[in-house]
Amino acid sequence: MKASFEEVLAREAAALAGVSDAEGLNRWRIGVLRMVTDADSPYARVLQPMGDLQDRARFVESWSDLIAAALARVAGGASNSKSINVSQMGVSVVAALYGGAVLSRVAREPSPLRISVGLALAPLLPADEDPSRSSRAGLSVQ
Amino acid sequence: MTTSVPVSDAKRLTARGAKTRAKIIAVAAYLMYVKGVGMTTLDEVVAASGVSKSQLYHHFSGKSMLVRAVIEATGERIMRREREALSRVTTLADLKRWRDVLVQNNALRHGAYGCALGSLAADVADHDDIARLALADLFGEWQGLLAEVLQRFQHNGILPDDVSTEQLATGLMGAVQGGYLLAQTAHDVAPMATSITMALDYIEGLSKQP
Repeated sequence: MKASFEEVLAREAAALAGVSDAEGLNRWRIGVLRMVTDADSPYARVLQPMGDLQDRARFVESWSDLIAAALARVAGGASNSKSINVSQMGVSVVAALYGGAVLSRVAREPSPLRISVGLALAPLLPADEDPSRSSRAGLSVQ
Repeated sequence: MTTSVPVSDAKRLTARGAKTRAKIIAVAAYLMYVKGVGMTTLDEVVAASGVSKSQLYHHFSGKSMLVRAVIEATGERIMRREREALSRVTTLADLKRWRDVLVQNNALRHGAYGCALGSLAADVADHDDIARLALADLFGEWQGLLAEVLQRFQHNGILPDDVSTEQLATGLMGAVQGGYLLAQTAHDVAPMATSITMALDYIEGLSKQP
């Protein structure tokens, strides 16, 4: 499990380093959802509440920090983003990945995960930034 | 006396038999909540509940049937709590109080054990399709209660009509379940409070849009 944590963090460090605007954030969102919904991917493994608790706690904290750093770059170039706490938003995105993954595994369909992550990212990725979004709630239904 | 047990061993029970069965389920639910389903053995349930092995097997043909009964009992308890709490929510301030109660209740054990339903889901969703479907129904009911709250908000002019209340409810449930899991990982409810608060802030932001 520790190897999966490290592999996902290495992949995420590389993927999130290139995120600096809403378009890049949306590409990251689509990519991470694809990985999480692939049962054979290390992303699917790390989103199950398994493994050593301290390893998992370190993993969650590191992933949240990586996401928050990317969100800070996106927020820096966006209008109406001064009130966004990117650190808290990073935590909420990781929570949405975990919570959405549980709901999707139980429902055996990917939409709860996509919707949960869409809600967590909505402050920086509103519906009109993504043509696949069908509602003003800012939630992806792709 | 007959118990209603749609996903587990349904038998006609005497009052004494029903009491024994309920005791086994309560002990198993506690052990599975604290240790996880996989780490809980039937021998431990027998020892902790004070019943004999033959009594346990009289009520449950195996661990899967006991797990399904635990899901049913846990689901009834949580849905009763959520129906009561969410039926009273008519304002954003009420919804924030609902969040506070969830977080504070979880803080009693420093968030260590997570959501009772979510923990069961993580343990059995890939192994028992009947249990998974029962959990899907329970999460669906909980999301439905949240959607009803958001529909009341629309009816009262708090949320615009073009917002998808179903999707918002799903996203809010994802924030709740993810918050529980992060609290369990950190042994601290702060990330749970953050997760749900960010979702509620987004909903509040929608309410302020023209």
